[in-house]
Amino acid sequence: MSLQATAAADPKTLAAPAARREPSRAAVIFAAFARRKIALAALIVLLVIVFACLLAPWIAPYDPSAGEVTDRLQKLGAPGHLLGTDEQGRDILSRVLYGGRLSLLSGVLPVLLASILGGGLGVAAGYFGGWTNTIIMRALDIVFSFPAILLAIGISAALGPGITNIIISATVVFIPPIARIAESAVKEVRKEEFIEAARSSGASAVLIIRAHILRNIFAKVFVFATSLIGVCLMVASGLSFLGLGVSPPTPEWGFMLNNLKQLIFINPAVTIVPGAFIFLTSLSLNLVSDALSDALELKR
Amino acid sequence: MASFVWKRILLMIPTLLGVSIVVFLMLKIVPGDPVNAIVPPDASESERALVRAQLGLDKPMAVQYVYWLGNVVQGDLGDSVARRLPVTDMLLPAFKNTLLLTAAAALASFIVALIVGVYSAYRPKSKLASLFNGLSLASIGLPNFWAALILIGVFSVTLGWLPSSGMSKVGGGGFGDTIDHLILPAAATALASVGVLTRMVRSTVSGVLQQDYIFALKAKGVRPFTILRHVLRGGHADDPECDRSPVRRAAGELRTRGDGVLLAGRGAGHLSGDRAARLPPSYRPACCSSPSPSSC
Repeated sequence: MSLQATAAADPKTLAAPAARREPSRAAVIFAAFARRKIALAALIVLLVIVFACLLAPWIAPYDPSAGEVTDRLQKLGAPGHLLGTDEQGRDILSRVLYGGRLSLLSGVLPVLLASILGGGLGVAAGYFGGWTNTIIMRALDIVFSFPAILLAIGISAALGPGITNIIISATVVFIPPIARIAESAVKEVRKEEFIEAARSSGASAVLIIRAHILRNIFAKVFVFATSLIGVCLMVASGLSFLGLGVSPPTPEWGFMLNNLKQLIFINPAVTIVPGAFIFLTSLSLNLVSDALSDALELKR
Repeated sequence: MASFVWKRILLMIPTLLGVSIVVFLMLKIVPGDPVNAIVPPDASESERALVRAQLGLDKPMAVQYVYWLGNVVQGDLGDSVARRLPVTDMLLPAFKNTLLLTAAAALASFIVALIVGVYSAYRPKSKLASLFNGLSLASIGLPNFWAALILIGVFSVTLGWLPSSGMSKVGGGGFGDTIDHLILPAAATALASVGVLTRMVRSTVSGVLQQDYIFALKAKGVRPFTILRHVLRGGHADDPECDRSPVRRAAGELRTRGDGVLLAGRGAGHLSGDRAARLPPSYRPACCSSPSPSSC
């Protein structure tokens, strides 16, 4: 009785003093996230790197693939070349900015694709259970039992060099772990009573998955996926480092590192620049993902 | 216990068969025809067909697979087409070197991870622990091919302390020489894997520390060192408290498994590699599913 009364009164009392409204869920999560100063700093670093790379054509000081012979092998901090130049006199800063676009893409896209494919497989396996589950999860076990890098190298070698094939091989590598997370999350949600209620009221599997399952597993899968982007960036640039990625004039962090490593005895500081960007990006991603997972209280 | 082990082993058979099929297909897909490596470039089509028949490459793929599998399970990986040597003879010397590097890197990262991880679990709020946490994340984000370059840049090029490549000096090859050549690669491998291990140790130990029996030991007034021994012995199957962050642990597992030289994590034994390989499908937190760091 009284419950109904308060429920009826609620909208009015809430609507009147708008200032007293509860902060949204996103705001609460962000506040918890921002309490960790280092995570906030990492987020800023990440945004700076991403935007600098996206804006490369406008902010890069030089053409990334045109070298100036007279400017070869400039040291770090040389006038006009903040991060030095390589053996062909190409500006490292410009190459890093342009190269970041491909590197970041090959870090994010495989995880995104794997989240969709692996997430889909995981949801199907977790929701339908039984034989569907056994077949899907056993098949993924086969992929999962390969060491990630070895599998990625194998697929890339089989498909031939190229950034597209790196993205494909990294996607294959990341499907099983994401599927596992999704599957276990779905299994947990599936036990809830509101799923039972939805099913007994005649909701179809598609509707239940869309309206109830996906909404409840999203945070878990999302945080897991963000923690994989840094790993993926390293796998992808590692493949490029091995020469399985872009072809010469195109800048890309891993391949730049491969190219510059011959200069380690002449110009060691410049050599490590592209790797420093891989490291910085991947570290920032790890810090952000770590704080995000705490903010969402996935620890429990 | 024994039946559990047998069940796991039996369950491995279909997975292993699947893996062998994938490996076999991958070898088939990789571009390049082995026949070309044997015959001269101007060989006629009939000569090529002859060589192909000799190698059994004219048979259907499924038949080739069965032959191959039959030989593999008997320890025969076939002969190298290019060098005409048994593949096993070529793999073994390389495996010895890999093992040496793996063991050194795993040992180093395991010792560091154990000390740092246990400390961080004991004093989670301390400044040092949050520093260690940051360093662990840095290690997880560290590409080891880059770490190797930095180590070479610093210790070989700038300081000139250690060699930048090779396994021994020309003409050299004593024990000390091998160690000199081992330090940098092992350090690069260990640096990139120590973070994951540290986090595993930390979350496992902090899970154990919350157990009732640890509380009981403290209440009894047992010496801290003795309690530490109990903590390290661990062993809490199916304890939900132990599941601190499956998300991060999984990322860690993957990172360990994906480690560039494929080594440190594998070698670091029961804390990482083997567990990743048999993570149960329901994604039980790795640290809980078996007696924890009992051999620590």
